[in-house]
Amino acid sequence: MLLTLAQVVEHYGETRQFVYRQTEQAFASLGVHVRAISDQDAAEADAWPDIHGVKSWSWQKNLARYRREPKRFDIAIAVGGRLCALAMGVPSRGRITLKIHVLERRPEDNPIKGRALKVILLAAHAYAGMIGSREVWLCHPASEVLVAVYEKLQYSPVRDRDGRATHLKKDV
Amino acid sequence: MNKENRDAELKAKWAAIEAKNKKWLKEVEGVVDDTDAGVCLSPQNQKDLNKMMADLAESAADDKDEHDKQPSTP
Repeated sequence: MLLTLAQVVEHYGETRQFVYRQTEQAFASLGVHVRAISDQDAAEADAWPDIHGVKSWSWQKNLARYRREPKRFDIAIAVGGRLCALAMGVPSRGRITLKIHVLERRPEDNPIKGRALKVILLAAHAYAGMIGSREVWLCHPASEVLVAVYEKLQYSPVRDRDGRATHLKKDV
Repeated sequence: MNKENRDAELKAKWAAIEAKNKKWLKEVEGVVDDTDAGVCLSPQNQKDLNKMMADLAESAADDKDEHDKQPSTP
């Protein structure tokens, strides 16, 4: 069946919307609102304080680039109108792997502190499964402390020659 | 594909992966991320950034292949 680019864009857009709705239902007890990242979300996240001095990424600068990819995964989590976390990534060629490139949480006054990762990762796995990916990768973790957290969430680290975790992976 | 068929397709796919996701949630129920990290995943250097841009280019190339395939086919 031949698909136009517009149909491909619509297809993946519908899939993301479906995943957002299902994720909201799965975490209804937290009162999360799940949606695509808006320009306003990107501006807000860029203004979050950089507690550990590791912030090297501008959501506003890069959002447009990811939006051009029909198959992208982008997600913003809000509670009571307050943005709490957001993440973005793309599948590999052939959609074998869904790679989550960036993930950031509101560092202070976050009503879902400690649980934001689970919400995002469930959505990522659901989207990956829906588009036929076999693995989800969490690319360039910001610290070894976080690598340990991802391991508790059943992700396996992949390290380079220097022992640095380049990414973590988990089967869909 | 009309809307009804599309909804049915999405629900069928969801049903296929829901059990696995529920099992994972149950298994990690007690795991709480007690770190105070704001940035969790982010490029750490130029090499990481280059990889991300390569992934985007790969995804864009894949889009061209998609036009003559069903997007749900791995």
